[in-house]
Amino acid sequence: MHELIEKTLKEASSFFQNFLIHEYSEKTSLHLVDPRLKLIGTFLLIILAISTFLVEKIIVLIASSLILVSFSKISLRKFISRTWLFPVFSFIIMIPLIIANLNNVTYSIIFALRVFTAISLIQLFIMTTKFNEIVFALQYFRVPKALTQMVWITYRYIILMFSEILRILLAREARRIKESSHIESIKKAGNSLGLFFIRTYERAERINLAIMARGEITFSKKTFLRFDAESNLKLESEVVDGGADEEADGVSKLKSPYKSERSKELEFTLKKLDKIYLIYIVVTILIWVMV
Amino acid sequence: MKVIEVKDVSYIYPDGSIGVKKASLDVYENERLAILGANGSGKSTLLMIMAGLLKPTRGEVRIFGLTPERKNLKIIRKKVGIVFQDPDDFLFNPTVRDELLHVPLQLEWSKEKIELRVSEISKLFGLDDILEKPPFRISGGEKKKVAIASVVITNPDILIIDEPTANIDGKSRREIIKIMKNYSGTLIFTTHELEIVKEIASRVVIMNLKKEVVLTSLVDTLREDFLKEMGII
Repeated sequence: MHELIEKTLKEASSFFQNFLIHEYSEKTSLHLVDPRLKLIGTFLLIILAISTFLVEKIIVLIASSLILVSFSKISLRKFISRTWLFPVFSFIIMIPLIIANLNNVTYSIIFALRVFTAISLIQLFIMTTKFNEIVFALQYFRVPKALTQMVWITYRYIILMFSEILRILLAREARRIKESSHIESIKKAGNSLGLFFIRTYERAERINLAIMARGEITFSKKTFLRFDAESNLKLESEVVDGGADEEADGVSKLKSPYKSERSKELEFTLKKLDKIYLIYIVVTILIWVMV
Repeated sequence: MKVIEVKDVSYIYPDGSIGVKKASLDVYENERLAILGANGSGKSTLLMIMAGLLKPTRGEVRIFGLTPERKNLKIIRKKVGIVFQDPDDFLFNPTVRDELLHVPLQLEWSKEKIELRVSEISKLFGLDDILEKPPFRISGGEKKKVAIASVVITNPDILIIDEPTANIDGKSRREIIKIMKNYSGTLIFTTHELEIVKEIASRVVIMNLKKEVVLTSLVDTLREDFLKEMGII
């Protein structure tokens, strides 16, 4: 039993480690769509997915997301490998309901399909948007700064956290010579958990020092960049005011040279790709309504 | 000219363990200082103190004549760049390019200056092919180079590197040594490799397992038997 748990933990760590990673190297047209538009589009489609129990409507949304996947040239295999676990898991947790009443089979399948749709849309968004652009879009829509900064830090270090778990499990496995009893395994798991917490705490301390070393204003003063085919370096946002820029220390507040440019960008100037994306989302919604 | 003055500095960690004990040393402008010592001798802690990241429990540190108090930190951060031993602790941006831009953007450089410097640095460090990759998806040697490049990009007056060649392959090692040799400012680094010390450093500080600075000496006068006794080689 403990082997099964350990294996599950290992697989889960490996899975979640990859779940949030954006494939920066694969630049496609969908990568160049304004992140704010993608955020709205994804949000709207998720709302539609979770507000219906009609299979036809859900299939429209699944088809829509799969068309976007093929349009963004993401490998379908890679896409499915990142999404399959969630609907399967949601179906598994519905099994007691099915056992209680066989009429619940359809409901459980629809439930799993809804989960699949929502996760697919989120995954598509993550795979085609840089994480700092996601945070920028969230900040644009007035999501509190404290929350977006927390999301940013969590994103960066959740991957390390999973690899830390994986390293501990692998290290244990590498030095395991004989099978241990359940009680021994539970004891060892407790030790590993303790070790994991200590390591996480120590890493957090070191990260805090790294952030300080590279400028105290790291997360209170943010600039988001967007690179596209037209220009190599295009600044999309201004420097958000940060505590460390205060004049209390005698250093005058600097003016951002990008302020005017960013103001222009914030006005939602729709480019060709943005318009195509917008039309696509509207058409999907219309089909969803008509079905 | 003294750029860093460490006077009778001790550091005790919150759990009561000693980080550094009564260390005193001066670092001069443009010198190349190597800090040697066995594992656990307090080298990394001393570097953190010299960068103004850790506040000594006892004693005094001056960096360019400034104490590492909050009001001076902005100036100190601009002048002193530090690279940690483990790049995973150090790299927290989504792509390698973002890592390079991290400090220049805070300094609010012009767009042209940023573009020019990023292209110079990525060429110098051989990072062109990995600029759009996430830092946690590149090799150990590349991570180390990115960490150093992200600090060197702003040309700090003092460059502090903790174990620059630890856990990397021969090619990356040679490249990093070359970069360190060509660095024009003050360079402080820790290492276990005597070869690198002889190649790069002009002066050496040795720490023992009691976390004390036991010797500061010119590289040429280093005695191997003493280094063996200290557990360094």
